[in-house]
Parts: sequence; structure tokens; C-alpha cells
Amino acid sequence: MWSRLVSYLLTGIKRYKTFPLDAIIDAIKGPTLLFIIPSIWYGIGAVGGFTVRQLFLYTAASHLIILLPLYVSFPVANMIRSGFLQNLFTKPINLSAYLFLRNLGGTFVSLISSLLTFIAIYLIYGGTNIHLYLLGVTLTIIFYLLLGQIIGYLATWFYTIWGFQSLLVYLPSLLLGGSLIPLDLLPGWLVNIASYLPWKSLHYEVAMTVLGRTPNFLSLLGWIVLLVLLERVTFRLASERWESWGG
Amino acid sequence: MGWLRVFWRILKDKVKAGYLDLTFELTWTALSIATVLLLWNSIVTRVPTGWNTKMVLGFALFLELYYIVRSYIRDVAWAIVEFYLGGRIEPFLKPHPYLYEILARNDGGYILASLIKLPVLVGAILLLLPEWWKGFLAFLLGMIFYGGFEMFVVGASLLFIESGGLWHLLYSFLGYLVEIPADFYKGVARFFVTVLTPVFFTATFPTKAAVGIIEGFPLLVILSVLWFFFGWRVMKLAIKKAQAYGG
Repeated sequence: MWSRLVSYLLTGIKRYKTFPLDAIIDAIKGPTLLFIIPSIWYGIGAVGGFTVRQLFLYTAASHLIILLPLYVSFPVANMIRSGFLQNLFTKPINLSAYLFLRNLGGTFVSLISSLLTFIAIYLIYGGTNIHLYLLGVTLTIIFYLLLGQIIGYLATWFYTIWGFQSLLVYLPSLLLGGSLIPLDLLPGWLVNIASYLPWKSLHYEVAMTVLGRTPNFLSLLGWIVLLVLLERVTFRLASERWESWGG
Repeated sequence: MGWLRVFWRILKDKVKAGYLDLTFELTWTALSIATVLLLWNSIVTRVPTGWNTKMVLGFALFLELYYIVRSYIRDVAWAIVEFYLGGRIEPFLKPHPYLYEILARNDGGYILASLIKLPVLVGAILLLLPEWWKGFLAFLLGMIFYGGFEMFVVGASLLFIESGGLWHLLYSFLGYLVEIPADFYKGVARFFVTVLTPVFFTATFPTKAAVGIIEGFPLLVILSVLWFFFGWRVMKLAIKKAQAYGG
């Protein structure tokens, strides 16, 4: 069973063998942005009780998550539209696990280069709780891969899915997740709304661990369980439709 | 008036299929303006950055204007290259090839959303920013820079066989950096966003010009013109290479 799962992961990683330039670019992009974006705090200065050093570290920690190419919905949608996914029905594989691990493998170089860069920043800027942070990032990656998969399945019913992706990932991570600016600096009413939604647990809670705050990953785990259930439901509904197409 | 007939015919057909895009586009724009405003206003009201709420709102409006114009500049750049590559002759069979191509590439919902958004954004800028005409001139200059950058991206992508990665790298760099007022970057990051990418020119420069802050204007003109001709040169090289392959 494990060898099969590893082979799914390798299927994703193999794209770098076919397109080596993609590997180089994935290795450059994340690390460069991880230095450029948090550097704004040197221009702005200390704010709201945070020092520039803390703000730099926080932004690198929270932004790392959205820099990872977890936009897997488009490949899933393309597989559905091209009929590739329907063809996989005839093979003895766990389709959900295949998609999840294949997509994870496709982000391998970016994941490693960005994580190594962050660890360098963490050491330079004197962060804490790296083990808890890495645990949080792992949970976040699982969340976004599942969400991307679900959005991808929506291509079964909708012609365009980019809107779902944009409105559920990028903007809420900035506004409700604090992926650029700590939520402590945003208006109180916005933080209240954010408390009832997943993005705060995905970015703010995870990033604050490197500044020494004890994390509470329970809500994040709850959101992941919810997404696992949602993925099962949407997959079942979508696969019924694919079968009716006769793919 | 032939172009108007072409425009109307294609728009009519595409809007029927693009209502979801229209919904997404308008929702995205409203949320995007709100996000930029809330994020940066929470900073400029806490620390002296030389920016105020009015400037942040102006920045958000010019950013949306840039997103609209960017999309059409991108279409023209790709259309020029693809026409020259010789593989696509059918647009030339239409009465207005470039117009036809731009409309054909965009969803009806997107085109309609642009038609709704443009007057709203321009109107808001006219009402909000006292020296709006300077702002629009700066925006025009910015779009010359952006046109050059876009031709560079398209040309450079075509010069390399694995164009996907390079294309993605150059665009995704912009995607994350443009949402931050360029004045907040310092040092190497400031050089990067002002000279090597059009980030400064997209919204920061027009916003500052529209409130009467213009620094280093001759240098900015030179930079824009240089980028335009550099981009044009790279694109011509790409076209020449493609023609040499008999494309």
C-alpha cells in the first residue's frame, strides 16, 4: 500500500524531470519573495507593539503558506475536462489519494526551497517553536490541497472555477488570515469575523507560533475534518456525473 | 463602425455563457478594493509613512484599473506573437483581427465586467483625487512600462522551449508585489520593484501623482521608454526565431 502511495507522489515529482526549468524557477521564486515581501517592515517601521524583527519573521512565516503553489484546482479541473480523470476509473487506484499525492509531488521543489529559506530566516531572526510551526504548515498544506481538490471537482458543474479559487484562497488569506499583516493590527470587527472562519487558523495562528505564542491547532484540525467529509461528498456527486457522461 | 458591430456580436454571444464570470469579477473587485483599503489603512493610520487613507483608496482604485488594462495588454502581446508565428490565420479572415482576438480570448463576463468597472473606477478617481489628470498621465506612462514588460515576458517565454515556468515566474512575482504600495519597500527590494518590474508604476506612481507628489519624473519617463523598447526588441527576437523554425 505504501509503495503505491509513494508512486503517486513520484508521479507528481516527475514533472520536474520533464520540465527542469520549472524546477529552477520554483527554486528561485519562493525564496526571493520570502525576503522581498517581509522587507516592507523596514520601510514602515515598528507598529502596534511589534518590532520590525518580529514583523519580518511573522510575515515570512505567514506568507510562506500562500507562496507554496497549492493551486491544485486547475490541474484537477483540466483532468476532468480532458476526460483524463474519468479514464483513471478503470485503473485500480484510490483516485482521491492519487490526486492528493500527485498534487503534493508537483509542489516538491517549491516546498523544499521555500521551507529551507524560511528556516534560514528563522535562524537569523531568532524565532521559536519551529517544530510547532512546521506541524502547523503541514496541516495548512493538507487543508489547501483538499480545498483545491474540491474546487477542482466543481469543474464538473461549472465552466469557470477561477472565481472559486480566487475568492476562497488569496483574498481571504490576506484579509481574514493575516498572511501579510498580523490580525492584531486590523480592525476589531474584522478580527471577530475572522474568528469564525478557517483562514485565521491557517495563517495567523500558525505564524504566531514562531513569535512564541502557544498554538491551538484544534480548530484547524476541525476544519480539515470538515474538508475531508466535503471532499468525499463532492467526489461522490462529481463521479456520479462523470459516470453518466460515459467517460 | 465595423469594429462596433464585431464587438457587439461577440459580446452578445459570450455574455450568455459568462454570467458566472461577471459575478466573480465584480465580487472579486469589490473585495479586492476593500482588502487593500483595510490592510494598508490600518498601517498608515498607526505610523507616519507619508500615506493617508485617501491615498490608500486611490491606490486600490488605480490597482483595479491596472488589472483591467493589464488583461487587454496581455491579450494584444500574445495575439501579436501568435499571428506572426503563422499558426493562426483565422483571425485575419475577420474584419478586425486584433479586436476579434482580444474578444475571443476573454470571457463575455469579463468584458462586461470591464465595461461596468471602468466608469466606476475612473469616476471614483475623479471625485477622490484632486490632481487626477496627473494621476492618469502617470498611469499612461506606467502602462507603457507595463507594455514593455509584457512584451519581454511573452518574448522571453517564446525564446525558451519550456516557456511555462518562465512565464509563471515573471507573472507571479508581479501578482504578490503589486498589492503593496511600492513606497513601503526599501533598499534592494525598492530597486527591484521600481526598475526591474512595473510594480511601482502600476498604482503607486499614479496615486502619488494624483495627489501632487512627483519625484524623479524624467528618470521615470526614461525607464518607461527603455522598458518599452527593450520589450519590443525581445519580442522581435522571439518572432524571428520562431520564423526561422518555419513556424
